Amino acid sequence: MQAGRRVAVTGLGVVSAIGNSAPEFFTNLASGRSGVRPLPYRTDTVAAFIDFRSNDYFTKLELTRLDRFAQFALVAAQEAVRDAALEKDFAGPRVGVYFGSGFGGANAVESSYCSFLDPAQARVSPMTIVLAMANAAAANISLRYGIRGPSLTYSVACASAAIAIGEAFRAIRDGYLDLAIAGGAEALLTPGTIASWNAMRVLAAPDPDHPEQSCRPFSLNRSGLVLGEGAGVLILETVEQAERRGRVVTTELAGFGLTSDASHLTKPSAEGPAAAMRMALADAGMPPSAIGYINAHGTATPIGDVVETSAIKQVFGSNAQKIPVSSTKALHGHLLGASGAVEFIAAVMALRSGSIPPTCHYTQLDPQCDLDYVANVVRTHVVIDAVMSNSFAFGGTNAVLIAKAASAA
Amino acid sequence: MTADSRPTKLNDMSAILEKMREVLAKHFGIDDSSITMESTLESLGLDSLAFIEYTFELEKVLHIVLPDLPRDMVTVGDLAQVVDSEVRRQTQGAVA
Repeated sequence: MQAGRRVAVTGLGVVSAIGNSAPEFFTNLASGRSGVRPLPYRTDTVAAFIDFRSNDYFTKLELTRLDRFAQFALVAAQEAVRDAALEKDFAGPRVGVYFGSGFGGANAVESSYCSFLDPAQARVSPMTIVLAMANAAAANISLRYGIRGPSLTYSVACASAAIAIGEAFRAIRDGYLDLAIAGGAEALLTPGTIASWNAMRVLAAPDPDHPEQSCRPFSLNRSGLVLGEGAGVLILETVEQAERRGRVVTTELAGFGLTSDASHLTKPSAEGPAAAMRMALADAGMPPSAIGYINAHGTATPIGDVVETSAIKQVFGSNAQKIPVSSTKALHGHLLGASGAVEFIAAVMALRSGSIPPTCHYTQLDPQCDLDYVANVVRTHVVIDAVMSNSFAFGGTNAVLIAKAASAA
Repeated sequence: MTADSRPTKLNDMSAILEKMREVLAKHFGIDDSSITMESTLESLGLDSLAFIEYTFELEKVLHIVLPDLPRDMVTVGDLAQVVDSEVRRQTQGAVA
């Protein structure tokens, strides 16, 4: 176990297709409400997109300088800051922003190409660069709250947010920071990007009768991933500071593991994820048996779910079948660079509530996926001491986070 | 027919100012009838990038092309002078 200061999770914020607050998000996870629908501009593809009313949150002037992903980030950050009951002047030099995004301001990039290639339009927006830069979300959070410590962005595909949270955890534990706003945001549902994902042939075939059920992690009839969008933000701070502020600490971030496959750009290995899970457990000073729930990466690609199952079995051995494992992506889609944040939040809320969100749309047993996936129905009144959240990225990076109940040793 | 597409005779500065107010309201949500020629761009919340975007919008609405503008423009009036002379030069004072 790594020595250092204890790190508390004291605030949560979510923007997603199944709710623009953490409680609403978790309620919908538990009840199995899916945010997946056919895209309005491309009905052969389903995605978990958000009916986001920007004007409810920002002025027109603000919106000229905020790409959709940064809007999501600011809204989720505001909820997390409120949830943590941070005072107005909480920011200082020992406060940082640790953020993740796979693509940054993709909407700004795409609309600039559209303008550039349209002979009728002479101009590209002068805001394009500051809207599109990957660190725009982190920068806008630090601007809004006057945060003068590090304002960082990790762009590591689908592990971006998990790594941002893990690195913030290390910075606080090791004494470099006292508090961090950590998480990730992604808004990649642009026509050009959807075409690119379709070309890659990894997206789920839309279910003709029930498009909302198109994403089926670990089920034999799964056909691929479903894209989502949104943001997840956590407030992390030392347990000591949280208690000094009068907060009752219920959750600690306990461990972080980070490895690379070094084998293939997109095809996952079982060894890399297994090593990351082992590293996170060692970091937390826990035996595998301490984990009471795993929020899986579970993208619902035919190979990914088999490989993750195999990795979990490598780490947890004969105990693997006893641990509830679920993929909540069936409902909120794959939030790419933000997925590690919203899914870690789902795991933290499961830990706090004793309710394990199910893997929805699970209908057929896959002999190669033989764990307890909490099929379709929430499991309540479960005593959980610690939870794990997995995020595996294109490029081969594997990030694993562990949270534990603050009362647990 | 919307207000924007109605032919307007922009033969005086008050009509130019009105158009400039319209774009501020529509594009930036800055809706303030108290904006005058003396109002500073900074006081309206337009920084240097927003200023460039503002000029692009004015070009679109007024069907003109603005020249490279000096960087030391301070007031709405500074910009209005240039817009006015370009409107006269490029559209003979009538814009669709």
